[in-house]
Amino acid sequence: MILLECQQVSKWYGTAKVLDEVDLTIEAGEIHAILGENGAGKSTLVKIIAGLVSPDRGQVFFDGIQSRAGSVAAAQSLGIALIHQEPRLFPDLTVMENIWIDQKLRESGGRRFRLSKMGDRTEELLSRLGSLVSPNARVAFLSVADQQMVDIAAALRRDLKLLIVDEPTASLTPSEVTNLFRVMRGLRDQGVAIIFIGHRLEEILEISDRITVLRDGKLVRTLNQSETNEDELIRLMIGRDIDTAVESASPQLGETLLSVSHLSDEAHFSDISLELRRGEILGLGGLVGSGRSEFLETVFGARSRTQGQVMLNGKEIFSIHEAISGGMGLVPEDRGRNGLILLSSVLNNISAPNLEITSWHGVRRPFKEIRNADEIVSRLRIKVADVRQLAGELSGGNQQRVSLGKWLVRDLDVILVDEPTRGVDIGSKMEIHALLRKFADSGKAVLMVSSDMRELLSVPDRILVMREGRLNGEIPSSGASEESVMRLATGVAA
Amino acid sequence: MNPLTVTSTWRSLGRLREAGIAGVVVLLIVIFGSLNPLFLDRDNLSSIVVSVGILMILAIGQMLVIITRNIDLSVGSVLGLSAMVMGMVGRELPEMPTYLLILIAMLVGALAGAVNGILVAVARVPSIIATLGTLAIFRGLTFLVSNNVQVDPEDVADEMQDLASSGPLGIPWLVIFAAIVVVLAWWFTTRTMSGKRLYAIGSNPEAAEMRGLNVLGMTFGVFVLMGALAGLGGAMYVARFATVNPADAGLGFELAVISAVVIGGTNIFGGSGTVIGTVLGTMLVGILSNGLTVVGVSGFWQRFASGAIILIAIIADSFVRKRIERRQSNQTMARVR
Repeated sequence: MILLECQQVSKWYGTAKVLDEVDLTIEAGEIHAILGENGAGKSTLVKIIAGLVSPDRGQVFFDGIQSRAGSVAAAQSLGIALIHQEPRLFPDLTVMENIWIDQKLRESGGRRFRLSKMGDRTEELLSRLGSLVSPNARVAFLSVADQQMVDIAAALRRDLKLLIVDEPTASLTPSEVTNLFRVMRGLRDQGVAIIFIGHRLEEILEISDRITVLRDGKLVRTLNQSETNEDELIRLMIGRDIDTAVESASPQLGETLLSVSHLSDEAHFSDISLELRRGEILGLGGLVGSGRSEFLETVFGARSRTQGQVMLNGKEIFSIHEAISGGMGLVPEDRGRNGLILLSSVLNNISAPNLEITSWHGVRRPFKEIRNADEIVSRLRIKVADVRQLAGELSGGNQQRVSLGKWLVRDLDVILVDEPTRGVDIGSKMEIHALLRKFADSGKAVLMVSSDMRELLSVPDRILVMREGRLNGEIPSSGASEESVMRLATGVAA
Repeated sequence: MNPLTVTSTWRSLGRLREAGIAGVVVLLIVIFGSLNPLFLDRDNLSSIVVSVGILMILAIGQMLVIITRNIDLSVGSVLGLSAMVMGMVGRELPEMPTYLLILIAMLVGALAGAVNGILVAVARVPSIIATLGTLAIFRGLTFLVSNNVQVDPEDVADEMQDLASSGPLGIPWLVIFAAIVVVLAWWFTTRTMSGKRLYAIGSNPEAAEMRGLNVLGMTFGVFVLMGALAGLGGAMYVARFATVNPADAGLGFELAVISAVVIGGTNIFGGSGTVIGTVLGTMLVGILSNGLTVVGVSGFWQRFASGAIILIAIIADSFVRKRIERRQSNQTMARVR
């Protein structure tokens, strides 16, 4: 049964055509992945499907009725729900209150609605999802995975027909992903159609029944999951073949640049020692929450330590200031929050941390700043019309390149990167990996935290695995497999 | 970790805080009483009750505003304006019944609140800026309508003045009004859907829009309600002092009102706050200001003390909050798959 049909849907933003005559059908009871690089038109298509944006040409039929642009609330009453990567909930309210807060009088048949009486119904909804969260728990204290379940439960309260999940796995641990997929399959079997948007191909192949690939606003093809594979999907997405493996020519390792000994903080990690040498990319693997980001920030001097020592080029580092002037930069995990100033230009983002290099006795030299920024933009192939464009207007991959590029103005020796390619499309991912490799090959060093198993196995020369705040082992990248990393990360014996 | 224990820790924290404020209130009474026995004198106690009553009416309104992640700095000026208009109407029409005069004051307040509400909810001016502007505007209007002539005790009917001193069972009507406001607010915040939605709006305004809650309407409504309560406060001000001077009626009231709300544990960033906490916070502020006068502390040190106590309350609160949150996050972190 066809639930939703897009016919010849086109959409322009200004003069840019973001969707070009897209024909798409979604069946009830299927999980349908929509795949494409950043800027391929996925999010616009999803907004049109949900009825939040109306197409400039073409029609959308939901349940046989032509749908109209409206609000999220209007979409919800039609049985369409959107689940975001970061659930949009009310942290001060309880689970139960979050689920029922928008209950309308007519939905309860005109009878007085008592929020406090909804405990049983809430338990019932949550148990349909296999969630053990208590209806009276405050949402602020739940994990992202539990919050997603609350979000889905709120959608299930009504007659749910179409669930749209937008990169839901980005901040989940593997077992939470497994649970989410179980819930998605359960809903599918109850006849709910699910649109899944994601970047991780192995997840998409695991969960979807059908996969639609978009490129440059055009629908390239819709395939059945059983008839395709990763290589084909990548080819369709980027329109050409690429070599997914980063060649790691065995590096010439030089002297030690960074040496960390017995570093501990009060809560997140303890007694970590490592050495990073010229020419090396060192990977730091482990589960989400194993303390890797906190460790990286402490090495950079951004967090306080309780004991241990960080030596850079033979000098001890205590503060961010010493780290930067000693030749070390950090590209943080959350580029929107810590890595970039999204409301400021690419130029300012690149100049801001380097003013003492570009300015003359404290006076800024704007032309030099522009020259520097232009150079970084062309070196990293950042797609911008002009360096004065706002950083927030760029795609994820380009933002990440700016976040990395601002450090390349300086002659750094060590770059610490935290999840360098999260939320970045495949083409950019490869280029960022190549950049890191080039940086290391020029006699510098990279310390990289990654939860993307493929990235962790292919990019670094050596992998250290953390578990619950401690180093649990080291694997040379030649001998590393997904299994060997997971063993160390989870502490399961071989 | 079991989410149930999380909730109960949080709830008991709320109770702990309320018990803490109550403890400070008792402590203050003991200290002031032992420093100067006149503090416990019947006349002084009833004076405290009456001034706490006026403060309470405004603090309840302010709490609702702050829960929605807004603030109303203009409350003192609205109180002054509505007291002035009501006093002048009473002077011109001495035959007008008291309840009508009170309604006029509340209407003037509600209109002023509607101006704030339009600025914040419709024009989307940040409330701290919008009400900072109207604080000055309403004070100016008070001068304009009164022609800088004050309302004197002989202009205020005896029935009006009696509201602050007598009533059924010897409880002044003013106190009864405040109690009614408190009970209604308690019912609204704990027993109604609209009350819960007020918390939702303050907890995550973006999500509230997404879920189709009427953010605009509720924000406007809460400012109108605040205005009407400030108007009622204005009427009670007239009943108590029988004088309205355009230069000082309600001047600086916003400081006492906001202190009371924040000391009572309402999160200044919206999303949480209880009526019980606000009641206790108001008592603390009222007793402190009266007690400092009675034991002979100078005006300067009184202001110093009330400023310091807000800071202490906020610092203590965020300290406890952070500790609890850190404990929670450590426990979540330890829960690896």
